[in-house]
Amino acid sequence: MLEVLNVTKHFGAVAAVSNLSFSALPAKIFGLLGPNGAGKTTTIRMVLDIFQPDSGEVRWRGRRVDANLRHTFGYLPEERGLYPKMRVRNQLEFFSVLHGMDRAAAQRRVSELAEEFSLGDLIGKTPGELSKGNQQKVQFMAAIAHHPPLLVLDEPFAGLDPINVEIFKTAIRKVRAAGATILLSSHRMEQVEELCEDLCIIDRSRAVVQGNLADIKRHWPDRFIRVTKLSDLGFLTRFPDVRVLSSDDGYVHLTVPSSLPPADLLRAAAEAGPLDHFEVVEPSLNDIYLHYVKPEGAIA
Amino acid sequence: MTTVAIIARREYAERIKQRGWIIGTVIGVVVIIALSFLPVILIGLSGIFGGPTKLAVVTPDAKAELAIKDALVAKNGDYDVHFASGTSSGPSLPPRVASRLKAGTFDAALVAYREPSGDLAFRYYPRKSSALDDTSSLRQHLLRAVLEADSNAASAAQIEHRMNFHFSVQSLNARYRNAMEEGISQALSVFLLVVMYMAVILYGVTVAQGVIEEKSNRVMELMIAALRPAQLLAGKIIGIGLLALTQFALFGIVGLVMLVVSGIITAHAAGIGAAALTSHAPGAGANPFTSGAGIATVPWTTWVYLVLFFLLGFFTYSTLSAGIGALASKAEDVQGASMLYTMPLVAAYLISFLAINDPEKPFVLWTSMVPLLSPMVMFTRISAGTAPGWQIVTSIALSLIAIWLLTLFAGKLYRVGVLMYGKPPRPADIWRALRSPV
Repeated sequence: MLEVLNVTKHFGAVAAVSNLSFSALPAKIFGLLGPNGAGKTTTIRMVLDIFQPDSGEVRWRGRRVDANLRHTFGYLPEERGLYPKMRVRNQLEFFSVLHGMDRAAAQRRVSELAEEFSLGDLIGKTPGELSKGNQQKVQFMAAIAHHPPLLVLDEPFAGLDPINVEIFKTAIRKVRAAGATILLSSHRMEQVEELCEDLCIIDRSRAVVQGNLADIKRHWPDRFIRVTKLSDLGFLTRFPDVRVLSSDDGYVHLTVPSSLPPADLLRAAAEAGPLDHFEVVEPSLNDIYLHYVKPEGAIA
Repeated sequence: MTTVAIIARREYAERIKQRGWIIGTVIGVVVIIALSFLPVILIGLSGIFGGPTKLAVVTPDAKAELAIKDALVAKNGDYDVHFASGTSSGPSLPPRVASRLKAGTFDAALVAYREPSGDLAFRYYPRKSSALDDTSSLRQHLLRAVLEADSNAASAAQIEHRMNFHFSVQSLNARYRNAMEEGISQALSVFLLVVMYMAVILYGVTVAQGVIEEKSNRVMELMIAALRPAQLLAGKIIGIGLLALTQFALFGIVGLVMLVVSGIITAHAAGIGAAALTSHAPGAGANPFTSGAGIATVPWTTWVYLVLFFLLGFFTYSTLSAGIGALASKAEDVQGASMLYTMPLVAAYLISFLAINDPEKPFVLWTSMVPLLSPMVMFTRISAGTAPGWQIVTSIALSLIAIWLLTLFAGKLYRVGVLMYGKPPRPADIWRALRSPV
């Protein structure tokens, strides 16, 4: 288990991370969300012992993370980087050996990954000769080649086309199935929602919400209701706590406090006109994110 | 395999395949081959442009004087011969001649003497030991004098015996047993100075550029997450260092082969056969730099020190260069910051030339123990035979400490480099980095 315990990091007078705590469990994917500059990458760098926290600590399986531990971790940095003139195969073997594999095992593993990621003959080329998507694949392969017990992925889906996103998601699930703990930072809400069991949203260096995603949704104070677009929404005046959200998908989206039974609203809507769609939906991760993360300048 | 070895292996294996390195090595080999023929050209040129050598000659008897006069004066314009008054009883240089030689009145002195067997023998005292001094021409002329002075040598066997007359070269510098020893000592010093200068300039920059490349292609973050910055830098420096050693070893082998080859060619150019070249007594050989024969007389400890101080120098400058690379955010920054290591390098180079002439000067003595300066200056003193053991040990120990500290500092600066994509660090960043634990 990865434990981030009350870590704080300042750069000069600027607080990059303030008193942040969370735990990421084995065989689970933990999502780290937040706007640009919130402190996600700084947190990841503290997890990897690249930066040391001003206070607090990061523990892996009960031990404080140091150089001896972190070299077993897998890392896909946001700023992708490979040796441009080194052949992909040599590069992947180099990173595997650097993370503790013996050379023969590294060679076998690289061949296995090349097949899994359909690299084919590209394995013998240099990164400069590959497409951006394939370069991303190689970078990802470098992060997982040595079977890391902890895999840290900083914006793994950035710049990927939908097909490659699916390939990456499958690969991430495979690593999780092997029992690894995965820490994933992303702006792509739909992917995080799909993959992460637990998450932490950071805004302006602080955690604004964290925990199990299903629990967060279950205990969300509002319900979201999607109904057929009615010509007359006058019935809503009887429900002052209901808010209408803008939408362009042909439905009306309503935010309803949990104290209001959806059945009351359904009856009122049915009376207002013909109704062929009424759906109570959970808040999406996007809704949760937008609820907690305020635009620059706005203070919650 | 240790982490440092893995990094070193990658650096070496990847860089040795690079076109730039291969082309540089080939050009280097071609230049060495071309330079090895320089003495042949210079000997030819000295015959055209060089003035006569002012030579003081001391002879044992009138017969010898006549024979030498006949050989060197009457039939030869290369020597401006002055016969000293008095006769010689052995090979030693009369004090009066020695003082005039040192004062610069003569370029060289030649003492002719009779061996117990009565055979005529010579000892040559050049005022300055120069790498291009070549006594083979003089010996060739003296052979004529020997045969004339010992005209009773009639049989072929006797003539052959006389052809192997004894001729030695003695340095005026008391530290050396003979001129060849002095010449080799100075040549080795110059060799180390030049090789180290080239290695530091060429490969020191490579270390800094390698560090910057890792930053610019963003591999640094991946690497720094997997290992300690100091391990990464040490591996990088060792890998690049081995690459430098490979190249210089290759140059060295080609150089040695060419030394022997050009020695034979030079001997022919100077008008003597290969047989005559090998027939001289030890210490009296042809110029050591054209024959290569003198190299064998260098004590093995000097070779060990040569390699040791090359490595110490290379690694001290490389760790400094790695620190500069860690601070720089782009290749152009290295150009400006490279002054930080070229300045001590140039200083060491200049002090070493002082040390060649006067290795016991207090300034030279103390700078021979200062890291960055010591590899060049101390080796110069060692090859001159003036460095006591404790000074050598102190010099090596201080250099090792400097390498260790510089690697740690460079590693810390490298960690700060993660923050600095494209912007130079502020002094506060550097200070914070140096204070942080590794």
